[in-house]
Formats: sequence, C-alpha cells, structure tokens
Amino acid sequence: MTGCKACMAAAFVAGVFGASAVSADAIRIGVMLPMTGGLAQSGLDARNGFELYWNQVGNEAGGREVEIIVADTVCNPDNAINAARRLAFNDEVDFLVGPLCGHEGPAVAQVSGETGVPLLLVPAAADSQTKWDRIPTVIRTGFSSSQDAHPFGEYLYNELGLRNVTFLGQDYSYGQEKTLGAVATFEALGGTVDEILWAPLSTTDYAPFLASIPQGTEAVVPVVVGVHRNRFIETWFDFGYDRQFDLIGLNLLQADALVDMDDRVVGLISVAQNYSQGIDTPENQAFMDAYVEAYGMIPSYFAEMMFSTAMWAHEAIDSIDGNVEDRDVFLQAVRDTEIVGPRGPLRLDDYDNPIQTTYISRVERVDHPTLGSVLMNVPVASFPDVSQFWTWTPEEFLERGPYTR
Amino acid sequence: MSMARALRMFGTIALVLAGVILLITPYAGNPFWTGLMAQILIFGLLALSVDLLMRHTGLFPMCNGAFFAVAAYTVAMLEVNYGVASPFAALAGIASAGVTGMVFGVSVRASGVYFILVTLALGQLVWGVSVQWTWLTGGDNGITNVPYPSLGDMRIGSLTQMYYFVAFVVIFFTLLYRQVIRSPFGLSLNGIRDSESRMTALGFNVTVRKYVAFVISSLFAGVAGVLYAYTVQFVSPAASSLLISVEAALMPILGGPGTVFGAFIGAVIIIGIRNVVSGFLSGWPIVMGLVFIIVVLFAPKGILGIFNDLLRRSDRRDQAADAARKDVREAEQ
Repeated sequence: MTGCKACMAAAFVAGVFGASAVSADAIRIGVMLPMTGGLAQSGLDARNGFELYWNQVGNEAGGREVEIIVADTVCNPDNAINAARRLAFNDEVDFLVGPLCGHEGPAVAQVSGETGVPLLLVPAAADSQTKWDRIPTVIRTGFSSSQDAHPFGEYLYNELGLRNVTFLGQDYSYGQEKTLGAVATFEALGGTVDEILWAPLSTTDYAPFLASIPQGTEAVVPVVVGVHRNRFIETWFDFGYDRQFDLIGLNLLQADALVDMDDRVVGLISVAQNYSQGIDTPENQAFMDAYVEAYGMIPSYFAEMMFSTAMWAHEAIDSIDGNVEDRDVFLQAVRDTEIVGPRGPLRLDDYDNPIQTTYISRVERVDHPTLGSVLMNVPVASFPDVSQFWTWTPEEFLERGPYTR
Repeated sequence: MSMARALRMFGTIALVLAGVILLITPYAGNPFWTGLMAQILIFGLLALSVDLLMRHTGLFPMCNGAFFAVAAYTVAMLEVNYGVASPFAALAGIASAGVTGMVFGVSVRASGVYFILVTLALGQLVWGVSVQWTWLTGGDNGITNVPYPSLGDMRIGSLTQMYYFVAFVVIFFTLLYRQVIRSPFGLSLNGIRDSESRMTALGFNVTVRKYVAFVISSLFAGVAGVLYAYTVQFVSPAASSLLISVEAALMPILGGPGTVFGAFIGAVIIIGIRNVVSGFLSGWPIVMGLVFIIVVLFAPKGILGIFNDLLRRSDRRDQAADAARKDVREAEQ
C-alpha cells in the first residue's frame, strides 16, 4: 500500500512540477478516447486512424514536429473532464481532439470553452453541439447524429418506394436523433410511419420488440448500436422475420459488426453514414490499403473520421505555418480549410459542422487481396454536400428544437 | 519512543498534511488538480452515505447513485431551465433525493441479497429515466451550462472558489455525519447490524430505524449530488449509472469501512488511479484490480484498518510492558 501511495505522490509532484518537461517546439495534440472499457475497440480504431495519418506525413505539420498525447476517457464524462483538463494544463496541448462517446462531448466542450483550448469534436455526434449548445472554440470534424438520417428518410420514399415503415430505435439520445431525423424527412414526403419501437440500451432480447411489428408494414428500419446489432440480427433471422418484412438498416451493420456476421446479411442495406468502406475513389483506396497493411483489418468509420481529422488539422496548420499558439488564427484556419478525405470532400458550414457526403451502404462479400473473402459495406447511393440542416434553413431547424421523445 | 506514539505522530502528520493539501491545492496545482480534488471530496461524501447503511446498519445499497443523480438533475433543471435561485435549487435538490429515499425506503423490508437486488432495480429505474426521457433530462446529451451557485449578488466565479465552497460543505456534512453515527440513534444502527432480533427484543422498532437510516443516507447522497451538479456544471446519465453506486461502496471498503476518513481515502485511490495513473500507464485497470484484491485479501478493514490494528496492537503491547514493569517493581519491593 505504501508503495502505491508513494507512486501517487510521485504522480502528483510530477503533474504539478513536470508540466514543462515536454519538448518546446513540437505541436502537441491531446487526443481523448476510451482506451479501456466497453468501447475500447472503437477507441483503438480511432487512435489507429489518427496515428496512421501522422505517420504517413512524418509526424510533421507547418514545419514543426507533431506530438500526440492520448488520454483515456473510459467513455465517462467525469473522466473526460479530468482528461481534458490534464491535457490542457499538465501537458499543455495546443488543441484537443475527441471524444468518442456522445455524452462525453458536452463535458469536453465545456473544458474547451473555459480554457480556450480549441477542440476538434470527433466522433461524438450529439446534434446539440453544433446547433443549440455551440461553444466558439469547438469545431466538429465528424458528423451530427441526424445528419445522415435526413437523406435516408427520402431514400426510403423516393428510391425504395416505401410508404409504410416501422422504425426500431435505440432509446437514448443518438438513437432518438438518428431515428427521428429519418422519420421527419420520410413523413414530410408523405410516408406513413406505422410505429416507432423504442428499445432501451438495457435490452437483451429483441423478440418482444419484433413481435410487435404491425402487420402490413412494408419494411423495418432499425437504429441499433454496439452489441445490440448482433442481438437484433440474430433474433431477426432466427424468428424468420426476414421472410415477412424488408430490413433496411439506417444504423445497423457498420464494419466492426460485419466481422461477426455470416452470408445471411449479404445484400442488406446496412447503414447510412458519412463513410462507406467501398467508396471507389483513389483517396479511399489509398487509405484502405494503408490501414489494412498497418493493422490487418478493415478500418471502421471511427478510424476514417480520425484519419481525415488529422488531415484537416495538418492542412490547417500548414496554412498558418505552424502558428497554433494563436488559437483564433488556428480555429479560423480550420474553418477555411477544405479537404478531400477518404470519405470525400469536407468543408464546414457556418455552425462549424462538416458538409459532407452521406453514403447508403449495402453488405457485399468482397475478395480482398490480403484479407481474403470478407463482408464489406459498399455504397449503393450517395448524397453529396449534405448539411446538418438538410434542406431546412438553419433558423427553421433551430426554432424547431432537438429530436427528442 | 514507543511504537504507539510513533504511530499516533504519523497519524497526526498525515492528517495535517491532508489538511494542508486540501487548503493549497488550487494554488499549488492547476485546475486539473483542483477539479480532481473537488471530485474526490464529493464522491467521498457520497461514499459516506453508502457507508452509513453498509457498515453501520448492515445493509448493502445499490441505489445511492440514484439519489445522487436525482439531486444533480433537479439542481441542473431548476438552474438551467427555470433560473431558480441557487439556495432554493440546492434545497430542492437535497429534498428530491430525500423524497426518492422515502419512496425507495420500502426496500428496507427486504434484507441480505434481496435488499441488494431491490435497491439495484430501483437505482436502474432512475438510470432508465435519465437515458430515455430525453425531453426531460436531455438523455445522453445531458443538461449543460449549469452555473456556479450564487446568493443574491454574491456569485462563485471560478473553479478555485467553487473548490473551497465544496470543501467547506463537505467538511460540514462530514462532521454532521460523525454526530449521526455517534448519536444513540447511530449506535442503535450498529446494534441492528449485529443482531436484529436482539434489538427487537430490547424494544427497538428495527424497521423504522432502518428506514430512517435509509432516508438520511439518501439526503447525504443528495448533498453530494447537488455539489456535483454545481462543480462539474454538466449532468448526464453517467451520474445515475450503476458504476457510481458500486464505486461509492468500494471507496469505504478500500479506505476503511466504518471510519469517516476511510471513505475519502478510498475516493483518493479510486479517482486517483483512474485519472492520474491512467495518464502514464495504459494498463491502469490492472492496478485498480490489484489494489482491490490486495485490500480484500490482506486488509479486510481497509487501509485505515491496517493503521488502527497496528495502533491497537502496539497499545496493548505497551500496556503489557507497563504491567510487567509494575509486576517487577512489586516483586522487588
């Protein structure tokens, strides 16, 4: 026990007096991700994507060395606040990147607001952060929850010709924002939502939810996350619902879930997102090849978002010759920068949220040169230049208020 | 110098040192350390509320995080949505935790494992509300921009001021807590823990006393929740998660159950490992696990328990030595 007390005392002293021990000219980037706990794998994907980019460019930007300091947030806002403060005060980072979990977003943004340390908010997706609760030092480089849901609702009506749909949404902020975003555009075109089934995060068995799908509905649109994706898919096929209804995934099978799937899911519409692994552009091909070579797996959308965030920051820093110490100049540089990342062209709207392409993906079995035969998401439709406000004016959207139930 | 005196001196020095650290943190460190210390104090108070039931009454509650969250959400909503003055918002926060405690208090009719299960279920009820009722609680997005408390024109304006406010309130309620556990009522709780049937036979209404202890516990948890909302300035479902209830129980177990300081020592260890050790050791959960295992195996009375045992043993040795010397003197005469 005394040993651990001593090491904590040492840590305290090191923290208080050791802050100046980091090299003076390097640009320091503080990255906040869950490295332990339930979302550790997603956090690792994100970290890999970020580091992959900086390794490719020799860890250098604006003529200065780049140093990355990763802090573990455990997907808990109390920890995220401390992690952000530690990076800001002890490590004296020039700007922050992260966090991953939605509810950590406001906590970290608050630290950015009180310290003035710029935050590139990614992948945390809470709608409010670039709409009702904006903080001047916070710029989002990921996406807003409902952003990709709006075009998806129109896709259901226009492309798939569906008129009667049942939604199954995960009952928490991200699930509600995503589900209700698609409901809004689907209904605006004249579509009928037969029912929205809300599944709590504590759901272990999807059979009761699927049993209450109204007869006569044409398709079921799930928004499920994490391990719920596997639970949902198992129940769906085991109980034979695939023979009764169409399954159109709004947030169902991202790359990390496909690893656990078999050929029953081939051909399903799997997800509407700002990235799809099958995007056929040289930028994405180069990213996919480099990621597979470095980590031996297909990159998740967390990896891509952090990769293009690094690219974004890099170009911004280059454009101001590495003068990240002037925070206003840096923030403005990020706002002025437009890049073409693996997920396509990216630029910010006036509310500091990216305008980007929404891809609707379908699962296909693909022969990968190094990974062999794998399931992969391939875009079947894409909507370029999608804003977080879709076709509404920002004023209309903000007036209407957040998607809640 | 005898061992006992050395131990007492060590205890005094540790206490003074803790007091000094408590006082100078905002000036010796930076906002990271100030925020961390404030969290330690707040969760220490929450841990005390758990210990009142766990060590003193023999009930293992899994819902104190719920009281904590109800109070935090109440304060955040009243301040942010309705602009209620801080003293009223704070009182309403504590009261709402107390009312929740009165309702959840029916669980004292169960005992042992059943009490744990009932309180676990009730606690999860609050978590479910905070996650799913987004129109009320903001769901995962939480309630942001909770202001620092103010009284008329007097306003807490910085984390440093907030820290001292937290320290003052926590010390006040810790002293109050000490009064509670030393009062006849507190001692009767110990009696209930040791033998319910004997206390019943002595004419105590055991159920009522357990119920009152439960409500008092919820009030202390509520105070911690109010401080949490004002300090962190942001309330999300994480405040009502099971993890908070579990950790609040682990803190006194680590530090020394049944003692006032034990809860805070436990808070230092748990929050310290998670936020400080994680900074330079990616395998910090292993450290946390090892600390738990070592304490449970070798120090079942917690870290303070080691100290108290040592002190008691050397006191006894001193007494034995004194007695022996006396015997020798008497024999010589």
